Amino acid sequence: MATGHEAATSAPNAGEYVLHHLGNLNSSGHPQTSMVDFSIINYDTVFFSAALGVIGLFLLWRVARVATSGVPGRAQAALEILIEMVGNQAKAIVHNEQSRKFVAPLALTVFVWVFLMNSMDFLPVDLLPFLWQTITGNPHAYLRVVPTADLNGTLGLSVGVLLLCFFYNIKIKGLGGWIHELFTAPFGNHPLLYLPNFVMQLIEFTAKTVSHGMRLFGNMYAGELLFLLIALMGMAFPSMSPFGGSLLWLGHLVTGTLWALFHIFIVVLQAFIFMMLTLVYLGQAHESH
Amino acid sequence: MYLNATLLAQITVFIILALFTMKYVWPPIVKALDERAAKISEGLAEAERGRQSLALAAKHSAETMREGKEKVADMIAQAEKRADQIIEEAKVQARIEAEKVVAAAKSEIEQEAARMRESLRGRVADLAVAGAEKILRREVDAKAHAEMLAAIKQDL
Amino acid sequence: MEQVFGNVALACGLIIALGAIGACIGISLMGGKYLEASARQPELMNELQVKMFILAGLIDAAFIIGTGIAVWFAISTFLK
Repeated sequence: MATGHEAATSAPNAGEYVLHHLGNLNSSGHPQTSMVDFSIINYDTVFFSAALGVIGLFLLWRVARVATSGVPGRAQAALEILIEMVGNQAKAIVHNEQSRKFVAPLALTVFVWVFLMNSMDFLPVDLLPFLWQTITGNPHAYLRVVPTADLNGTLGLSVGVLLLCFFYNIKIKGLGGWIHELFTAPFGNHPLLYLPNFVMQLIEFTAKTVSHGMRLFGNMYAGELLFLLIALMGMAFPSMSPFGGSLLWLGHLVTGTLWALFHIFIVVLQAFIFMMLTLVYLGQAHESH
Repeated sequence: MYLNATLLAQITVFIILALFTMKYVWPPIVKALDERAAKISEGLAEAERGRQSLALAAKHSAETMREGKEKVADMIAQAEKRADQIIEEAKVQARIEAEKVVAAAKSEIEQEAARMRESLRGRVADLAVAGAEKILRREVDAKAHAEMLAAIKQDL
Repeated sequence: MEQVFGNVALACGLIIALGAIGACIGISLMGGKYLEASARQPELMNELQVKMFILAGLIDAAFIIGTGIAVWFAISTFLK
């Protein structure tokens, strides 16, 4: 960057590098500029989330297909532990036998899927983008590999949960019952309170959904950014004096390791929290105020 | 930070995956778990039953043992008592027998003695008479002293 | 432009710092209570630990969202 040599090889500077990594491979061909644009779709997020979902569920299905009530194999035992964990949480939160038939597998799906999507963070930040650029032959091709670091990915999940909440609200309380609740809870049944109640309910649903999606997104986005910044340290290695470059390279090694280790914790925890909140919100849909 | 149609795709994928899990992943495992739980509880109940019957059998055998011991002890005590009784009876019998023998011997001896005395009495009288005859041959007349002699004879 | 740079730098610092203060107070309150509770009833330790981690994730979330946004601002301002 400081030398003319760097500019000549058209290596990206730090800002370009990070921004390039934060650009999705979408149908418009360049990073989206307006905040909301439903004519654009992110191919990479859809592809990686669907692929991870299919792979994860295929593995689970492989195990479940040959499940035996006799002595279980290791894979089955592991899956059983997972299912018992999710099943117990579902039992504690959703008090409806019939709904649990769908809600508990849903929670399992959320946990496994979010965990797998979060885990894409552990791949080196440049590995898949570099492969993609090599395959397409376009050195500027965009690709983001972590679907949960894309707001669409996480909000898609939380909006899905919101829709299911609506579904269960209507199913359990009936359409009339639910509308009645929308206008009479939480403050009480009085004509003057109808509007405040409804506004409160709207705020509650919005806040739930946005915080549900934003929580996962924020964690993964910050994690991805930190990995990018750490990668910048290592990348600066050739363009600096040997001493400073070595220090930066060492810094990349140490901080990268530490952050990756801490990120393992975050990945599992956030997947678990996402699952728990899904259960809690769906459980709330079953309870009348 | 940009929203677009990916959101809708994500919702669709989400619901499809959840439905797949509900249909193909969750039920077999839960079924296996339930079956195993049933099997294990059955096995535990079986073990409990086995343990109970074992305890019962042990109790039973201990009781039989105790009964047997009691019976044996009883028998021994009875036998000892019987033996004592027999010995006692034998002793009594022996004493009676001995007394009988002694009594018989005594009476025999007494009879003998009486007979001896009788015969001796006669002989003594004879002897005395004979001796007195010899002494008194000359001085006394047998007729004169017959009265006295009869008195002596009576005294003997 | 320098004015903008300065304001963005301050804003990012405030976002991260205030979020960090809140999250740290929250985590320390919860951690202290957790230690107290598990000292009083050690048999509940595992159960409480799981709940504590969930709450730690919930408490941390706002802070990390803020940090992500602040870093995003910083990068899109300074590294262009």
